[in-house]
Amino acid sequence: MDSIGLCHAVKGKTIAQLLAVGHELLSSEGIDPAWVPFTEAERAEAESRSA
Amino acid sequence: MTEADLRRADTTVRLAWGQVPAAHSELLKEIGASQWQVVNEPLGPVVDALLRSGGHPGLSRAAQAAMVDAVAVWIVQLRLMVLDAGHESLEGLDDRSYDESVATTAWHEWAHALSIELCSREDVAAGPRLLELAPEGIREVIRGAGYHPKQYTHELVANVYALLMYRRRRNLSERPEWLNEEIYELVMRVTGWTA
Repeated sequence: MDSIGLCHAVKGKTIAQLLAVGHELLSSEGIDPAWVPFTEAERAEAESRSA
Repeated sequence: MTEADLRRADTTVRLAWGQVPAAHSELLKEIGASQWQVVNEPLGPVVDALLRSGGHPGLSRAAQAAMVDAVAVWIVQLRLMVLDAGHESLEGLDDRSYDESVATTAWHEWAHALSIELCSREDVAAGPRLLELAPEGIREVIRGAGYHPKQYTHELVANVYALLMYRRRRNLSERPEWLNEEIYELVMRVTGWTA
């Protein structure tokens, strides 16, 4: 999937593959590839900004 | 998907936006690409309706059907990213994996928006050559997705930027060893990335 008209769509499968590649590349650097989750404090602040 | 789930997804996009360095978010604002919408519907009909309500031609049924696998769309005419928070590719993920996927999707689409606006014709023409310089995994993702060679540069920028943002979550912003210098310089020039 690429451009449809002037829209650019990205497949969910492509993102999943990209994340798998990202995990491999991070591991190759000796970095733990586990996602660093957004903290509850970050989430609360983001929610307050959107309220 | 509940309303609470939808709000969580929207907050995750907002958090991903908050992670974008100020210089990049300013660039995105300059090109009018700082807006997003999170929905829980297939994107084809949503994009069609948004285009029509914005006074643009809608999507054909074929184009809508072609979006069935899409988790997000960057609509150039409306300067809007739309994400399907309930897409089947996100089903069954735990919160951590869900946030990872949604944030990565947002970073990918924002970088794509910058790439479309700011890459030169020469950059676009160099796509097939640059793709050969990319890490094997990224090369396979782009080739496997069936993109036209004219899209290679934009896809490279989008994918590399998303992974650089992923690293930034660990306070790593310099060029990783696995990334070719020419591609890194392209991403810096187009997105404003700085180490």
